Amino acid sequence: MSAIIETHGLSKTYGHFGAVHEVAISVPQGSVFAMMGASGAGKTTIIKILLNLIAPTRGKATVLGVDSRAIGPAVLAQIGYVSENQALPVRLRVEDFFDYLRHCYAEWDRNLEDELRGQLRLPPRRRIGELSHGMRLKMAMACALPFRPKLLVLDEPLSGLDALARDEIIGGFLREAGKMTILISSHELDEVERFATHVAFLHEGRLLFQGSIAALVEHVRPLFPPLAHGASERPSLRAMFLGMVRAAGRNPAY
Amino acid sequence: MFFHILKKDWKLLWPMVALVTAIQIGFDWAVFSSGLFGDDAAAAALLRPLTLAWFIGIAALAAAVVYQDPVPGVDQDWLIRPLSRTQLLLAKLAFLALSVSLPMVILNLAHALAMGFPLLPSLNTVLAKDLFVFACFIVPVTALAAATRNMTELIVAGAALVVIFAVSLSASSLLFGADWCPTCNTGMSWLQHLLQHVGVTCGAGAMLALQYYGRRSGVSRALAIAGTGALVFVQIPWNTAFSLEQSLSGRNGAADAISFEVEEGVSDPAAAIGGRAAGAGAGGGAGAPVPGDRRTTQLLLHGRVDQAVQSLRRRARADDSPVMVELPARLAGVPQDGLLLVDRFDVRLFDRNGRVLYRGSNAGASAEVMRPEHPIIDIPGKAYEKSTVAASHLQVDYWLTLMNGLAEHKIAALDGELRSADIGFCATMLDRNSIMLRCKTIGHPPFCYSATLYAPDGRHDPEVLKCIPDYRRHVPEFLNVLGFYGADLPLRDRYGMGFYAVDESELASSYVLLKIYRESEHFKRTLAVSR
Repeated sequence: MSAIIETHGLSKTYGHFGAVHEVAISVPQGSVFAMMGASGAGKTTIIKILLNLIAPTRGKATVLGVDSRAIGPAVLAQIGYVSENQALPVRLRVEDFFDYLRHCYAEWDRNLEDELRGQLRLPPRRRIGELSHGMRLKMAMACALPFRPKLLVLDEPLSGLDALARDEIIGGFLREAGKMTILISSHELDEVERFATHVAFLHEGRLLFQGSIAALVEHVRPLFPPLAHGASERPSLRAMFLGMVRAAGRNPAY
Repeated sequence: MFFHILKKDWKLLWPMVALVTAIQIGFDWAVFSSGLFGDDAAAAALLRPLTLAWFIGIAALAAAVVYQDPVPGVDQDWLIRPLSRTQLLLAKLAFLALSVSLPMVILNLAHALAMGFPLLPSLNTVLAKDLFVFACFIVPVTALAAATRNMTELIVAGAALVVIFAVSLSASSLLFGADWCPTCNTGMSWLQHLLQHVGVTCGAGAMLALQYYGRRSGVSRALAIAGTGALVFVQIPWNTAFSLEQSLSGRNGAADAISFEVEEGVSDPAAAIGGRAAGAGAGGGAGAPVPGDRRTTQLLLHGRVDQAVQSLRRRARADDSPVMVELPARLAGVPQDGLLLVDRFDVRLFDRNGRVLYRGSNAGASAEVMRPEHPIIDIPGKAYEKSTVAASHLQVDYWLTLMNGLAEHKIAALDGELRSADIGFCATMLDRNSIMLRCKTIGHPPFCYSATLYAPDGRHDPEVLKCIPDYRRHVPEFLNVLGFYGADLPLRDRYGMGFYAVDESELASSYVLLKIYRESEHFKRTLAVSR
C-alpha cells in the first residue's frame, strides 16, 4: 500500500518547549490510522502541521504527495477535517452553511449530504452557534463527507460526547471507511480499537510505535508474558499503550 | 467562490449595512438641513454625534466582515476549505466597497446635485473623496481587523496604537522641539499628510498580504506599531517640501520683481529692535494674550503637543520670553492685487568674524500674511541679549508665497445669494453685530480670501482677510464632499477703537465684496542687514 501521509523527522517547538520530536509516520492508503496518546502528546500539533495550519520547526511532511507547506486549495479539496476545536461560522444557519460549502468543492454529493443530515438529525434553521458541542461535531462530520475526500482527518472527534453521539459519529465515518484513508487522533483507546487498522503511539511528543495492529502485537509481545493471556487473546490497545509508556519510562531509548 | 463569500457575508451582515447606510443618510441630511447658517438647530446639533457614529459604524462593519472568517489562529473552519485567499480578500474588500462606498458615492453625489453643483465636477470630487475614504480609512481598519481575532482585540489594538502615536508625538516634540514637524502649520503640510496617507495605505496593504497569504499575525502587528511610530518620526524636511511645492506649482516669473530693500539711514540691527513681547508666546500679535496655563491646556486639547511644550518651556524661563524685532526693510515689487505669505523664515545673527551667534526659525508657527514694511521676527530674550551686542550682521531667509486675486464677486449685504464656478454658493445674513457671509463649494474651499462691506457710494468697512495657507492638491476631506468657508463682517467695534464707515441704515443697498486669492508662485528671498 502506498503512503498517503508521510513525515520525516517532524519536530515542532514553542520557545523552549518541544511539542513534537523527530516524528516519522507513514499512513497507508485506505487505512484507518489511529494516532493515540495522552493529552499533550502532540497529536493535534502533528495534524495542524499536516494541514499547513502551522509550520514545522524541523523535518518534513507530505500529504497526498504534496509538501505540507505547499498545501493549497487543490489539496484541501481532497481532505475532510473534523475537530473538536473547529471554529465553525457560528452566526450562519445550518442550511446556509451547507449551501455555502457546496460551492467550495468541485464535487458535492447532495444525496449523501441529505442522508447524513437526516441521519444525524441536524436542524436546518438553527444557527451553528446555538448547537450543542455534540451537534456541532456531527455537523462538522456531515460537512466533511459529501465531497468524497481522499483523506479524512479526525482530531479528537469523540471528546466530550455521550455514548449515543459517539455511535452516530463513528457510524458516520465508518460507512465511508474503505473508500478513503482516515487519520484519527484520539485518547479514547477503547473506542478507536473498534475500527483502527493501523496505530501510532505518541508519548510526550515522541513516537513510540507506528504500524499495523498485527505489527503492534508482535512489537509488544516481550512486554506481555504468554501466561497472562490465552494463546488466541491479544492485549487491548489500552494495555499495549500503557505497557509501552511504562517501558519508555524505564528505558528512554525504548 | 468570490460571489458566494460575498453572498454569505451579506446574509449575515445586512442589518449592520442598513444601520451604517442610515447613519450616512442621517449625516448627509444633517449637513444639508443645517444649511449655511445653521438654520435647523436640531440638524446642526446632530452633526457631531453623527460624525462619531459615521466613523464607528464604518469601522465596525469593516471589522465585522473580516471576523466572519478571522485570520489569526489555527482553528477557523475556512482554513481547511479549498478557498482561494485572493478571492477571500477581494470578497471582503468588495463587500465594503458595495456596502459602504457605493451608498456614500450616491449620497454625496445627490447632496452635491441638490445643492445645485454641476454633475461632472461633483462626480469627480465625490469619487476622489470616497476613494480616499476607502484607501485611507476602510482598508487600514480592515488590515487591523485581519491582524486581530475579534472586536475586543481590535479595540485594544486601536487604543494601543493611539497611545503609541501620542507617546511618539511627545517624544519627538521633546527631542526636536518645534522642528519635529517642519511642515506643520504651513501650507505645505498637505505633502506630509499625503506621505502619511500613502504610508498608511501601503502599510495596510502589506498587513493584508501578510495576513491573508502568510497568516503572519506577529509580523503584521509589529508593522502596525512601527508604522504608527513612523507617522510621527518620518517627516519631510522643510527644503524638500518647499522644492516639491515649487516644482508642482511651476514657475511663472510673477515673483521675479519682488525684493527686499533695506531702508537707508538705518544700518544698525540693534537700532531696529522693538520691545519685549508680552505674555507667553511667539507671535504675540496674533489675538488677545491668553494666560500661560490656559494656553498650554488649549494647545494640548487641540493636539498641538509641540507648541504646548514650547509654551511650558517659555513659562519655565520667564526671562527668555521672545523679543519682537522690527526689521528696517520693506518689500518692493508685490503686485497691487497680490498678497505675500510667509511660509517660514530662518534667522541668523553673525559676529564680525562670521561666526553664528544665534540661529532660529518660526518653525511650528502658523504662516502669516507678510507686512510689506518693517517685517517682524521673534528672537528668544536670552539669545537676543547675548547676541545683539556682538552682532554685526543679521540674515533672514524667507520662504514666501505670492498670492494673486483669482476672483472678485459682489453679494448683496442683506440676504444676498450668489452662485459661481469659482466660489461655489454664497449667502449673506444679518447677525446682531455683523454681516455673516457663508459659502459652500464642491471640493476643497479657497484658503485665502477677503470680504469687505461696501456702501453704495464706495465707502467701506475694514477688509476682513482670512488666509490659512493650504496648498493641497488631490487630498480630499474625509467626511464632507462640500467645502465650507466664510467670514463675519463686523458692523461696529464693541470697544470703540475701530472705525466702520458703513452705517446699519445703509445695509439694504450695501454689498459685500468677496475676493478669492490663489497661490501664484513660491519663492525664497534673503534679507541681510549689516551694522
